[in-house]
Order: sequence, then structure tokens, then C-alpha cells
Amino acid sequence: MAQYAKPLARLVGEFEKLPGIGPKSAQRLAFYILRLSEEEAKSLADAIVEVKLRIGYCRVCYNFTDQEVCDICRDTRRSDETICVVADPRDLIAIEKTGEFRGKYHVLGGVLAPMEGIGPDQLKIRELLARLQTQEAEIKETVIATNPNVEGDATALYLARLLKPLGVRVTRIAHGVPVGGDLDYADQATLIQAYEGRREM
Amino acid sequence: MAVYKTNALVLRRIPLSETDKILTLFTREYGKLSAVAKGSRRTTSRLSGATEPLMLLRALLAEGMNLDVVTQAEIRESFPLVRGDFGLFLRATYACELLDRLTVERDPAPEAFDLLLSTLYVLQRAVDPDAALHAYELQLMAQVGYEPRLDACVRCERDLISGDLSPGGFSPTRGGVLCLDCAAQAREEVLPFTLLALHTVIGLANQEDARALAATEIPIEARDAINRALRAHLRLRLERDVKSTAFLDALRIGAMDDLLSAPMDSQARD
Repeated sequence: MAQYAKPLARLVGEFEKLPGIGPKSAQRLAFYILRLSEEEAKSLADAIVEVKLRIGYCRVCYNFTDQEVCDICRDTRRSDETICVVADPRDLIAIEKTGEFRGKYHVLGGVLAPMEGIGPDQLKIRELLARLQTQEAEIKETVIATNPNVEGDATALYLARLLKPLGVRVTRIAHGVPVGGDLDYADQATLIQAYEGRREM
Repeated sequence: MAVYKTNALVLRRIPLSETDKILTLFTREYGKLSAVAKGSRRTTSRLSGATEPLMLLRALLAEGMNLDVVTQAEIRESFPLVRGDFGLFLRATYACELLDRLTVERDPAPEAFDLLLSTLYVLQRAVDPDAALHAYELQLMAQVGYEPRLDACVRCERDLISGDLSPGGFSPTRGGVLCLDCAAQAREEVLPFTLLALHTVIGLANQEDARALAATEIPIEARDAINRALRAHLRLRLERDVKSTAFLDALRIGAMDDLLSAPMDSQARD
């Protein structure tokens, strides 16, 4: 990157490390930042540093938070009876955006992947069990909302095996034809799921 | 750009970008190959379901610069029973991983394809899924030339099938069964292996009838010995453990819950 002045080359290099950013986009972003006011640039830099310093995991549900216990877990208006188990904080946000779910969450931090050697120990499964066993308020239902793919399904099966003996109701989010989708374009595996999960009208 | 049609089983898939996946396909005609399924990570993609592991596809592929591209895929079989049972799913995953490890790309192996497929079907209705899985291991090893020596002592070559001589153990290093004398003299690791285990394993290695295999049950006394011998034999041939075995072992000894506390050493090393 001899064509750039050193600090600029460094910035371009840093941007290139980001997902989905190639050399051209990195250059564009770096030049954009060069044009920013010092204030704006500082604010961006601060935001990056702050997110690294202040964001940690919630002690209860392992969602990202800047406190010891996250806002959702502390929200007394939310029900303690239902826990929605998700793989990733991004999944939590997706469900939260629907505004439908009024219980609490548990973030596993991944899914079981036998071929990659990711076992239950690498996930927050032990913590989920502990939560179910110790939490004062009775947890009546766990909704398993992992992705409807092989690993997500395997994780759900594993959790069901583990949780059912505790006397908790274990449910799995439905999968099937997407809203606005087209039956003709749905694949066989999806249609089977949609058919099996049909509902009385 | 040339396009071709093939029957393929998805062995594994890894995300490539926000929207694409790279699949490891095992095709009947071309052997193992990697292909990109563009857009298949989108919920609305027609390929999203088909490009999951353990799907048997009729696929249309287009030759690409580096990787071929999956342009169309129709699911022929999705093995819902295997997917819906954690134990069967783990065994099927192991079967796929083993095939992936034992084969190289673009080397046609129609027998291996047929074997995996029939194993997945057998798993769906097997009385003892481990019988199906060990038969698969043994027959796949035979296809690639890694099969353990079972008919005679691997050290002194004396016949062990007739029953005049008892097996004394299994030597993973030598890759076969030892007679009592040789087992006593062997300086390498020798695993316990009884006559019952030997007969069971020979039976599984030669069982080609799917219906009979589905009805086969491994005698409880021989289970552990067979598991351990085959595991050790394979580990030496592959030079490391197949990753999904840690799960399988825990499941077999009924300690799936203990996986939580069991240190997964073999995996941490990888």
C-alpha cells in the first residue's frame, strides 16, 4: 500500500479486516473518514472503544449488555414463566423486534456442531439448566428458537432431552413456508415441516 | 459454462458469506466435490432447505472458475427420521464426516455413495443403529483399503475363523486381530477382543442385505470391545479422531448429559 500515506494505509488495512469489506470499499471508507470533522471521527473511535470496554454478557441470560444484568432480565413487566432459548444475541434482537414475546431469554452463544467439534460445554447449556433449577419464580416453558437447520435442530433435540426430565414444557418454534412465500417455490423439506406443523382452524 | 446433473448427498456445508454456502457434496458420478450455493443462506432462497447436510439431491451444477455452482437442487430424500432423533442424527453426521475424511475430491466412488445412502436408510429403521454404523465403517474401510484383518492373526497369520484358535485381542497398530499367543507377546497396545466380538464384526463387514442389517443387534457383551477396536483402528489410519465421535461415545455410554462436564480433549487439540 505504498500509494497511501502511512496512517491512511493503516486505516485502509483495518477496514479491510471487516467482514464483507474488500480493498475498494476499505479505501472508500477510509477516504470518507478523512473528510469527517475531528469531532465526528473521535465520536466514531470512541464508539468502537466503548463497545469493546463496556459490553459484556448478562449474568442471567448471556445477552450482550453494559450492565451486570441486562434490561430484559430486569424488566419486571416481562413474564418469568417462559424462557426463549436462542443461539445468538442477533436472534434475540430478531424476536424482540416482533414485540410478541413477553418472557425472558437465554442466549446459548452458538449451536452444537459435531463436525466442528462444538459440544454442549462450549455453549451456555449448563447455565440454562442451572437457571431452570434454581430460579425462584417457576419457569413453566422453554421455547427453543434455534435456526431451522441441521445444527439448530440437533441443538433443539439435545435440549429437549435434557430439559424434559425437569418437568418443564419444551416447545420449538414452528418452521414452514415463509410469509409472502410461494408453495411452488418451497422445497420438499420445508413443506414436510409445514405440513406436519399444520394447525386446526 | 458447462452444466451437469448429478445425484448428490450433502456431507457438510459452511457459510461462505452473508448469503452463500459452500457445500461438500458426495455425488455418485464424480465423487466428492465442493460447490457454492449462491443465495442459499437467505430465508427466501429456494435452495436454503436443499443445501443442508444429509439431504439427498438431484442437482444441476455449473462449472465455475474455482468451485462449481449449484444452480438448481431438488430434494430427493431428506431423511426426516434421522433428523428427528438425536442419536440417529449423530450417527449420520459421523457417517458423513467419515466419508469426507476417507475420500479425496473428484475421485468417483459410486460404491461409497451407495453405501452411505443405504446406511442412512437402514439407520431410519434399524433395531440397533450401532450395528448399521459399524457395518458402514467396516465396509467403507474395505472400499478404501483400510479394513482391519479379521480372518487370521495379523502377526502370525494363523487362521482365527475356524475356532481352533481364540483371538487374544485387537491391535490397532497392526490393524487386526491377534491370536492369544501373539497378544501375550505383543509390545504395542492390545485392546480386548473376544471371539464373540470377532464373529459379530465379520458378520457386519459382510452383511450387504439392508433388511437383515436393520434387524441385526450387536450382542451387549461385545459392544464396547467393537466400539473401542474400530475407533482405535480408524484413529490410527486417519491419524486423528473423527470429530463427531466424542458425541457418539458419550451417547453410547448413556452419558449425553455428562458431555457438559466431560472434557472434550480430542477436540480441544484440533
